[in-house]
Amino acid sequence: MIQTFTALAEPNRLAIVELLRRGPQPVGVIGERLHMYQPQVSKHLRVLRDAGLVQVEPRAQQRVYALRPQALRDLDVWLDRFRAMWDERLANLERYLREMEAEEAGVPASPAPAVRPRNATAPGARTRRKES
Amino acid sequence: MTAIPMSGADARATIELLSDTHIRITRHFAASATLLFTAMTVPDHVRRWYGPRVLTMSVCEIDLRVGGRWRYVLTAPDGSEHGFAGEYLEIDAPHRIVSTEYYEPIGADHAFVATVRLEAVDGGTRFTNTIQYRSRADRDGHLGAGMESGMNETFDRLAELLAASQ
Repeated sequence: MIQTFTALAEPNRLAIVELLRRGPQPVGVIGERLHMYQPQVSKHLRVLRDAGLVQVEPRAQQRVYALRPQALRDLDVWLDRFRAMWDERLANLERYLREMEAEEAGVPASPAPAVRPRNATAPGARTRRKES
Repeated sequence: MTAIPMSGADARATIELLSDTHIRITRHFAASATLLFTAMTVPDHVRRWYGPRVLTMSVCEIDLRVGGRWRYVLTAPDGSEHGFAGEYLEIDAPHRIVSTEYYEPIGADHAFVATVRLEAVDGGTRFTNTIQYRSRADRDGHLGAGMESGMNETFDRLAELLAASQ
């Protein structure tokens, strides 16, 4: 994951990945479209290949590069994870603040999306289950 | 350095990458700073919102004073435990708490400093948590990846690219 992100955190490499998103391309075309010299293109492609973002598709006479979509999906999942953790935590806090305010005012809390099952009395207690 | 919000709406957390070793988390709350401060520093309250839905907070200890320690343990349904701990460096109720934090398996050598500010704004309170890491590697470890600085535009394009790839 570190490799993936570092590989993408370079404008030229990101441009290559954006180009390849539309479909596989030979090395020469990549250079033409993005106005890069061949050695530069090859260098960036090597980094992207090492990071698992692109793969070579052997075609007669040409080296054609294609995007590996799974790598991008993995990255998106990772990026979202950190923000989602904070979203969930602070949304839980917001809901709880409403409960606190309602308690202070002596009225039932306003309806909120699914309330987390939480035992308020015993620390760490789990919900009891009936043994069948 | 220009901040790169990862989320637009006020009611969602915004994550900004301020530098190689700083990030900032921001969110607005429709509640007073006093209420927020209480909810964040009293164990009986913290237990009720801190952890993700699937985890239970089996330990919640807070010694709220400069030099005091805190410790949380989140327990998964399979019994595995995740411990976090640290020390309070500055307390300015109800507007600011500065504390250290580390994940116990990784250890205190990689602790980061979290500065939580609660500022009164129209309609409530703005919560900002500015995290300062000891190193870029520590930041990357917390976030899960390595990034080069100065990549604002690149990051925006990356976000678009990822969205289009779904």
